[in-house]
Amino acid sequence: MPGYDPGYDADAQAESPVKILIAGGFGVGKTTLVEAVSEIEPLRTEERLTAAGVGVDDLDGIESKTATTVAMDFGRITLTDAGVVLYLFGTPGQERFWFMWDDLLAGALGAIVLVDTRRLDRSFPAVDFFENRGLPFVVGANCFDGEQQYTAEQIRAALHLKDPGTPLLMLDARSREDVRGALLSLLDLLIAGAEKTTASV
Amino acid sequence: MTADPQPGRRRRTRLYALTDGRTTAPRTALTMDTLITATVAADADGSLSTEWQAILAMCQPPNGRAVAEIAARMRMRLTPMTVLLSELADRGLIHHRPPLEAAETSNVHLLMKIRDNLARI
Repeated sequence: MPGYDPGYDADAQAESPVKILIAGGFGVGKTTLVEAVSEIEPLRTEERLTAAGVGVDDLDGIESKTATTVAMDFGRITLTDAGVVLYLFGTPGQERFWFMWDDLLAGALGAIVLVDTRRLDRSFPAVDFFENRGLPFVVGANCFDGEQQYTAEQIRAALHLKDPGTPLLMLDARSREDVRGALLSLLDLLIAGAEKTTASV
Repeated sequence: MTADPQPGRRRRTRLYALTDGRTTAPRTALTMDTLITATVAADADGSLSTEWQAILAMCQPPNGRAVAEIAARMRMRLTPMTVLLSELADRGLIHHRPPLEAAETSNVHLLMKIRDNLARI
């Protein structure tokens, strides 16, 4: 084949993809958070979900009444030294469709649940979903006016977090430093979990 | 991101036009976070469609791109994009690297490397 170099093995060099989910209700600042740390402008992709499964009617070319199109904004951080490309996926707000979307959770390291304390109820579905599926997550309380009128304890109590050890951070989703702090907090949680598992074996 | 003045009215390339009419399950299973790397130059084969060439140009090594990213840049939805990329994989035009498995993502060593690297971004 012209242009084909048989001596080249792309797989030997390529970084491995990993993903972290950014969840939270509509308008809570997920895309802003992604933009704060992403090396590219956030991109948007869509998926079509139906009662029968994922993307089925895309292949049929027939519009299904029970189908819905969900959109995700996402960004990327290449971590060359760790040999991974980290994708941050902002999950779509239609949480009731997540259960039939295996691809969303499969392989995810963990999640950041972003909450707006003025509309805390919008974060409940994401918290419930990740707790039920056992995906580790940290909570980030977005301080929209630079201030937060509630304490971490008050927010924690209002969210009814099952695990009292779930980290909760006050952050500004526009701040690269804050968002990086939330990602590091999630990694610390994952490392602690992995160490516990290793120790108990 | 620039706003699309007429969302939903942009032209979509018909999937079957790019996959020789095939809409059945391909041999290669891809997920939205599978990393794609081209194995050939974008213009390696004059018979490739412009869409295929655009995809190959996008993921020239060493820069692998996730299926979701290629879908977004090609303005296609995820599922049609995975079908199209599976076709390219079946033809040997791209490499695909699946996301790390649970055994790897719970590896303390790797997690620490990710953490250290993140701390420096």
